[in-house]
Parts: sequence; structure tokens; C-alpha cells
Amino acid sequence: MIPASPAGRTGLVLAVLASAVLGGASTAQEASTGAAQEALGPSVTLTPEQEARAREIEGALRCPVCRSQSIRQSRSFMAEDMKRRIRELIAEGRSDDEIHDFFVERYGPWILLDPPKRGFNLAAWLLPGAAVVAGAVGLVIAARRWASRSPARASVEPPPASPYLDRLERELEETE
Amino acid sequence: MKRFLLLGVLAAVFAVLAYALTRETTLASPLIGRAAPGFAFSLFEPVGADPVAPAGSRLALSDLAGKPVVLNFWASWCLSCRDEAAVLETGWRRYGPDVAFVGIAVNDEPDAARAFIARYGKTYFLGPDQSGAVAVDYGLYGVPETFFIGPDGRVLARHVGPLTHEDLDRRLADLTAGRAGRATGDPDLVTPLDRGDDPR
Repeated sequence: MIPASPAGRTGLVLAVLASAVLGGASTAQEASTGAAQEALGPSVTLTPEQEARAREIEGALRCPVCRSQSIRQSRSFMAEDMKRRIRELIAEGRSDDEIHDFFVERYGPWILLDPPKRGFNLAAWLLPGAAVVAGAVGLVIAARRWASRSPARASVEPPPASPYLDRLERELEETE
Repeated sequence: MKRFLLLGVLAAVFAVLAYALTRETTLASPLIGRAAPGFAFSLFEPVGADPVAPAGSRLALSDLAGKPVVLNFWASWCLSCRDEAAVLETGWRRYGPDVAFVGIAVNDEPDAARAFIARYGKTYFLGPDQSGAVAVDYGLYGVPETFFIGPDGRVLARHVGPLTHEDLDRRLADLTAGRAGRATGDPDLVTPLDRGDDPR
């Protein structure tokens, strides 16, 4: 794929120089993602921003083989294939939502580690918040009930008189 | 009364959890009823007595338009694929060429795949999914998996795990009648496309 025209060749040289400069300024993390990309074999080359997007999407997709891991964490064949596909789709100019939809169309919504925020799945997002609110309301009600009950009990009910205690004191006095 | 209400709420929560945790998610395919994802690959060298296409020539799904297609994903390292190898070859000899049979080797070494083809005398369209793109396009979990594509190019059914002769006959009756079928099979018999399961 080396361009035949001199202008094309100049462009290629400029691109190589630019990537060398960018490469020199890159952080250690970018270097490691570069190595990961190399491990995937022949694949599309992405800009650092696109690479960051690819990593983000990888973290949101479930690995079909290991199930509880994202494909970013997984080293299975299937995850590697999916990572490569994500990069191809990014290079084609697809948006993050379009890439998520691409995988949902093939694997179902199960492939998303975070369930989509609609329908029955909304429960997963709303229930924890609702539980916290219900707990807080319950605590407030219980605290109020305790607060109103304890001083009332102290004033209304005097300590019960015990006939045994009276008798004990009387007998003690008699023995003295 | 209050205690019954609390028990009721707890039972409902457990029922929802039990449903969510035991629901089978791998069998159904969102592709059923939709246009089959296109593919194109170079065929392995023909082996066996009845080569269906010249070696190295390319096959695309669009070449098979108007025909029902049995699209099987397999690998030479997959044990269940050995069980169904004869089923597919018998099916091809019986129903082909009116029904196209296509076998795509996933994550396989070409030489190992060719040896597998020779060993089981396979003669239908066989080629590698070199980049793994076709496997992802069909939402594969492992091998073997088989998709049944109608003459109009829509996915009619998916079978997870090895096919038996009965499975194939039933599926092909549906396929030639253009009926959509339920997803069938046993996900436990699928070898996941996992690095750990690869003997290479």
C-alpha cells in the first residue's frame, strides 16, 4: 500500500514522522496498548483517542466465554476477535452507541455488562436507590417513634413498688 | 399481617433473582428472523472425491442467494465437531446442492483444519475465518454452532452444540419450507472459543 506518486510518498513520510513524534510523547499506558494491538496481529491503526475509545468499549462488553469478565480483561480467542472487530468499526467511523448496538444485535443485551437503562432492566438501576431511600425513611420513622416513647415512659410510669423489697427493708430494720 | 406482607415481598425478590440467574441466555440468537450477516472467505483446497469448488476460490454468502444455507462453525480442536462431522457430510450428500452447506473453521490452524477435512471426507464449502470476524458477526459463543439461513437470506434458526441426523432432518424440513424454528441444542456441548481449551 505504498503510494506511487511523489506527493503521496511525501504524505507517507510526514505521517511516519508525526507518528514517531506522537509515539515519543506517549505515556507508558499507550505503549502497553500498542503492544496489545501488536499481539492482535494485522489490525487497523488507531489514533490515541480512538484507542482510548476502543478500550472504553472493551470494558463495557461481556466476554461470551468467561461471562463474568469484560473482553478487556479476557484473553480468550473470542474476546480477541471482538477487540479486533471494535477497532475495525471505530476505523470505519462508527460511534460508540453504534458499536454497542452492533454487539447487542448479535449477542443480545446480555453482552452489555451494564444493562441498558430501559424496560425491566431499569429495576437494576432504580432498586438500589429506592432501597436506600426506603431504609432512610424507615430509620427516621423508627427514630421518631423511639424518641417520643422513651421520655413519656419515664414520666408516666414510676418504678413499681415491690412488696418483697418493703418486707426485706422492714425485716432488716427489725434485726437491727 | 405486616409479617405476611414482608414475606411476600421477600418471596417476590427471590423469584425475580432465581429467574434472572437461571435464565438461559446463550441459546437464543437475536439474529433469528433478520438478514444473515454477509461473509466471504477463500476455500480450503478441495479434498475427497467430490470437490465442490476450485481450491483457493472465494465464496461469499451472496453467491448462495436463493438457496437455503446450512452454515456450520467448527474447529479441528473441537471434540463435539468430530461427532457431527459425519452428520454434516451425509446431510450435504443427501440434500445438496439444492441446499448449500458451508463450514467455517474458527480459530484454527489451516493445516490442522485440512487434516480434519481429509480425515472425515468433507466435500462441501469449507474455509477459514481468519480474522474471527465472521464468528463475531454471528454472535458465536463456541463451536460447534450451526445457523440455518432461508432462501431469502434471513436467519431462520440456530443450533448450539453438535447436530444429530434427526436434528438436521428436522431443521432442513423447516428450512426448505421457509419456517422459522426455535433455537435448539445444548449449550453445555459447545466448546468455548477459549485460549485454555486450545491444545495447540
